[in-house]
Amino acid sequence: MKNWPGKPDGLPMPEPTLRRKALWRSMDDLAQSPEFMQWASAEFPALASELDDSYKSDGPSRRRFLQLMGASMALAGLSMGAGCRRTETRLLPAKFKTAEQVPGRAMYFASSFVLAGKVTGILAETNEGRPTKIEGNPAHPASMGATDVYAQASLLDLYDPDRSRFVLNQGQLATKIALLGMLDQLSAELKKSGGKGLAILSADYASPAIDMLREHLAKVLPQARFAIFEPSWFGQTPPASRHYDLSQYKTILSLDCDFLGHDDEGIFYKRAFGRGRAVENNKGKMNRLYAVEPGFSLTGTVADHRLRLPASKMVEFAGKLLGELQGKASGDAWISELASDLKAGGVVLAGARHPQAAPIVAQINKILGAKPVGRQNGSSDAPQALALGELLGQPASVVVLLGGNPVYDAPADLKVANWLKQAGNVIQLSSHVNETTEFCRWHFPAAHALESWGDARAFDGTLSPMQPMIDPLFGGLTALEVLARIGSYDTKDGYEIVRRSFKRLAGAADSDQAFRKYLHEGVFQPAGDAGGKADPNGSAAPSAPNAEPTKKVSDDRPLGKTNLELAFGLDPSVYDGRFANNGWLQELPDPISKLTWDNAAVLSPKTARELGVQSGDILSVAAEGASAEIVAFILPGVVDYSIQLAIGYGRSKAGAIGDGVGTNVNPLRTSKTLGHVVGATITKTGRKGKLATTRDHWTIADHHVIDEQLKERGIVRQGTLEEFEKQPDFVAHQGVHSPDIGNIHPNPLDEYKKDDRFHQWGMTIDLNACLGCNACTIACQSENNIPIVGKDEVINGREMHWLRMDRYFEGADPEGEVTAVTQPMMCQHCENAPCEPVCPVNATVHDEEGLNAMVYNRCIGTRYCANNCPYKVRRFNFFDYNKGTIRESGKITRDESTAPDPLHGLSTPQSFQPPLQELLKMAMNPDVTVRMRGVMEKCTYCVQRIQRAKIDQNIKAGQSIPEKVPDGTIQTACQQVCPTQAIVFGNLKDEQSRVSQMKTSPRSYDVLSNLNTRPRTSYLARIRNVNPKMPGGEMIETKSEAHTRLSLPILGEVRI
Amino acid sequence: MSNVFPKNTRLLATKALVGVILLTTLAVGATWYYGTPKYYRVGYAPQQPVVFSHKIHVSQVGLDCLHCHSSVKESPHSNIPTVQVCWNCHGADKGNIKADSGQLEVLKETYSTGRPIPWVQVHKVPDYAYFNHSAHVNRGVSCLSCHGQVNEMDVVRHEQPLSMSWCLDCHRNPESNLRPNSQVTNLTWDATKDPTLAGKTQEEYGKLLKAHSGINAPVTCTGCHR
Repeated sequence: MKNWPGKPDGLPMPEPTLRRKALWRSMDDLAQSPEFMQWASAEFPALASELDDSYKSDGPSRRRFLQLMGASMALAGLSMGAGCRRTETRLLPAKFKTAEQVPGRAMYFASSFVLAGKVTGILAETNEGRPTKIEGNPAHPASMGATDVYAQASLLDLYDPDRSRFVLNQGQLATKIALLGMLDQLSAELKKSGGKGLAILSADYASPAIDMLREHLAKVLPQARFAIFEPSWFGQTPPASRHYDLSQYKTILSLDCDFLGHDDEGIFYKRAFGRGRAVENNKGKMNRLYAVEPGFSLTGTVADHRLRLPASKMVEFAGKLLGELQGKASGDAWISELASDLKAGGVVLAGARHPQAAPIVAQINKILGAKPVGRQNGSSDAPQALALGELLGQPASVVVLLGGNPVYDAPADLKVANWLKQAGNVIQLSSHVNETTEFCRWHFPAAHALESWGDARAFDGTLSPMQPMIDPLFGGLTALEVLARIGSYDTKDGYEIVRRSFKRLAGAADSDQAFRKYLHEGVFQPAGDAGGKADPNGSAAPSAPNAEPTKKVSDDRPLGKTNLELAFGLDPSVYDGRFANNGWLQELPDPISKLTWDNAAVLSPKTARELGVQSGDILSVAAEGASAEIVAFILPGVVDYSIQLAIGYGRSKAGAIGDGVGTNVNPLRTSKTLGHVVGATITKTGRKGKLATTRDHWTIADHHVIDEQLKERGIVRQGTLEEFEKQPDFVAHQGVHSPDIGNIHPNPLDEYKKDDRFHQWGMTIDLNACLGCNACTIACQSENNIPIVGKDEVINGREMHWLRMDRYFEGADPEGEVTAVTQPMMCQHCENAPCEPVCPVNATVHDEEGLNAMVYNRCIGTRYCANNCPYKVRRFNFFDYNKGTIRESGKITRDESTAPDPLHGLSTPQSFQPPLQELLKMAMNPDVTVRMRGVMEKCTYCVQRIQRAKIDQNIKAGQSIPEKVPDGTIQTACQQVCPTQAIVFGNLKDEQSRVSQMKTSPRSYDVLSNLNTRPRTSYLARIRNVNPKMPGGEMIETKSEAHTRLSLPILGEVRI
Repeated sequence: MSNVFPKNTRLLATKALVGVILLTTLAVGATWYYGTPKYYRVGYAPQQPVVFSHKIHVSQVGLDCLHCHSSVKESPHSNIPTVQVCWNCHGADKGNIKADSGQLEVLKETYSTGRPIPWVQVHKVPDYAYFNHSAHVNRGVSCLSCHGQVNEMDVVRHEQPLSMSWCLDCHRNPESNLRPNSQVTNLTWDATKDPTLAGKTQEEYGKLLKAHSGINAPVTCTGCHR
């Protein structure tokens, strides 16, 4: 057996035998393979091996090391003598300021974030005029104060150094004046011809102002043709817009609809689902979620019952379910039990990937009596736009592209590039120079949403403004301004257009005051809703189901080794590829596979075994006459013979971050097979690719626990609803128990707890509400200036996320049915923190209010603390990740000398150093230190927000005794962003505070409490609402030996 | 056996030892003295781009600190005034005070071009220390405590070391720097001459104030470092 670093001599090492384990992170974990054990035993396994290498190879020897040290000391001495005084710094006050501007205090502006037609109301935090953080707008129905990963990360896009900066005319630099002159001339010509030959292809902006301009355009240029296309539609027309208030339904079926992930109006669904999921004060009403899906989505991890089904069988399944509800027995026990459960007040959500299932599901919901909410027309009242295929059906002489990247993401068979080549004059408005740009005569930079005037309309008709926080950094234009110019609208000013759009929708309610209120609050509810509320009976057919002829959806040939299915999906990180150059998102681990910086051919263990494929093999995937090379990744819980492929990767012109990351699978998709295709084959190329997955990183290992009884440490605790109602304190019987030995020495914190002057901070995380959506991870990254490290460093286990989302699988057989559970893990702020006594320089200590503080300026980087942290939540800056070297051209330096392997070495340069150009510095939170190389860091409970709230109380008090910070004033970044409000933070000394209330729940437990760490963060156990009558109980019932021996009631009653 | 070392080497070890001790002491002492802000920051008085005299504006004209540094009560930062503020008195279309003074040229240029005046920063704490002005001036700590007698300075000078131990001196014993909020910007305030204090010394009054306002100056890391 391989001898891994960090192994103390003489200790017996566990043999890598397959033993069953209750919760496991990967198949390596389940099998306790040497690779996994290495991750479990050493904090930074890759580092140790590096040191090993240095001894045997020609790396730095000890002698050389001392020489270098000596030299650098001498240099340090020189520089000390040279400049003892600090360098002179300048302070530049503004020329003017308004009364509201207070330097040093953040301002918040209501705006909107639009992602492929889905609108989230946001509040943008600006510090001295630069946006630094995105929060949800509590007044907006699709935000309710929360946001998602994309809205959070869109901030980084604003400061993307690779954003398009210049007007290009046939690839040459041109001036903005030339561009505007060209547009004016063009619009004059078009006006004469009535818009003949003009084709406009737009992204979905869900903007009433654009709708208004389109109506104007239809009048002025009647022959112009307008189409909208979004890859996330999985078709050429938008999916039927039907929304259900999930808190009203007891049973919910997701038909491959990842509504808890990135499908549909995420936060609206997540919040309502969370409400219906609550167990306390909701007796007998907790909802039950069924998920039917080919891959493993977040919705699948939360589901009480999950059925793996190939994407190609989804329509058939919907038909059977409809039949069952109409009284025709399907002969399938799962479906008939599901049908009878749905009848008790259920709703079915269909995924966008299955447009053919939408009419069937609409019928099912009608039978079930589920009533949609929101507007039937969705956000748009504009004249119907053409489908992409219809637009491409006729040649055009002038093409205007408003956003989007059709050459990259349109269906392969539509041959967008050819059509653009035929059109003489192609004008592109785009945030980046992308794959489409080379087919365009004109390209000009688009303003970011935080730089533009605009408006947006949510699914329920709520109007929200889009306001500029900052002048366009690169002088970009907006789609509004371009349309106004093309259509010779009488004003080209974004503000004026938005003002008119408001007037148009507000009708009688319009006034300057109302408009100002609308800008201030960020929402406006137009009266006399022009689009009409959704049909209350839900009887109308879903608007515009995809009309294009459908391929026979259920191939009769059964899926197998030689007849594979490819199921395409949006990527949880880069979406449809638009975020490919966003470092935060690229490095964000996929919620299930934990892949970063890559997409992969995700296949089930059984499929992999039969095909002889291993994770890391480069496969050639062929379907419909096209093929792509992509790395294989084996994931339990994926349906057999179906390969899950995420779109959005393999960008060739995304920028320094996104270029060449992953594989572009779009060539495999034709307009008829956008969601899935059957009849695919794979061949092994014999080459290997590198994948950066964090699934085994920071594992809370239990390999050193010898006693079999102790194997289940109760890190994630869960039970069934039935069990919880019978025995509410069931969690207390899970995990390892040790007698309360107290402390040998008095803990100074105990004294402070009695002192009235101090708060005592604490946090709870409700695993029953947590969906694992990663929003907290990105919010934390944005709030706390956390750097990205690049693919190679992720492979070394050096990712910096303070808050990681752990995902554990359950199930004895990875080839069989498995379920999964997610758990956010960050610094637990232990009262008896194991990290503190081992620090030689007191760089990590407690404050009076129970925070485990990390003092960067004391830290000397011994990393003892990380070694001693049982939760593995400390992160070390191995490099100056925040200081990039920048080539003169403004591009990030990449190490060109490394020979990349043709497919995956390209993804990030060998020594990837994310740039911190002036531009990226602007994204930094000024209230948080930017850490340098060699210091440890970790979750601080957002101490900057705590201090701000406390100081505000002091200011308010003046020279009297300040009151305690009221409950709810401080929201940590992760708490604020959480769509289901799973995270609660507050003062533990206040018995009425929400966090104190949560801690009294019988479901409350501490992770690794047996170590007497006394963590301040506690968790609430997860409850599954299992249907006892459902067949396939073996999926739910655990057969794990470890469970039975410990009589751990994980998932269903354990029947020994 | 002959002597390998001459006789006078007997003292070499002692000499070396004494030398090392002396050098070490000297090095430590020098660092102690020269290497701390007490030496290398105090007294720093750089030439500013505008010859602006606090002495004239405060002691002669009688402006309050808050007239220009207006955000100090609500913000972590004490702002440097915008040109707008200077212009209110010196602007040709406003007060037009000292309009013909050559020293206003920079101001005029700034006002017309919008290019900011590049003031040289005098008081500075490290990036990882988050000093908050509003938390101090609202709780009875005067500008004087950290910035000294600015009302008497023609050129602003670094008066206090602003080192961490200096901060902590006050955080541990805040009473010696507390005064009524109404007197925070009064740099000539003298407790013994304040009729409202009935002859109490500043220290005595500070103790009362500390109890009365529940002053709880943080002395752990998170108070200032985030």
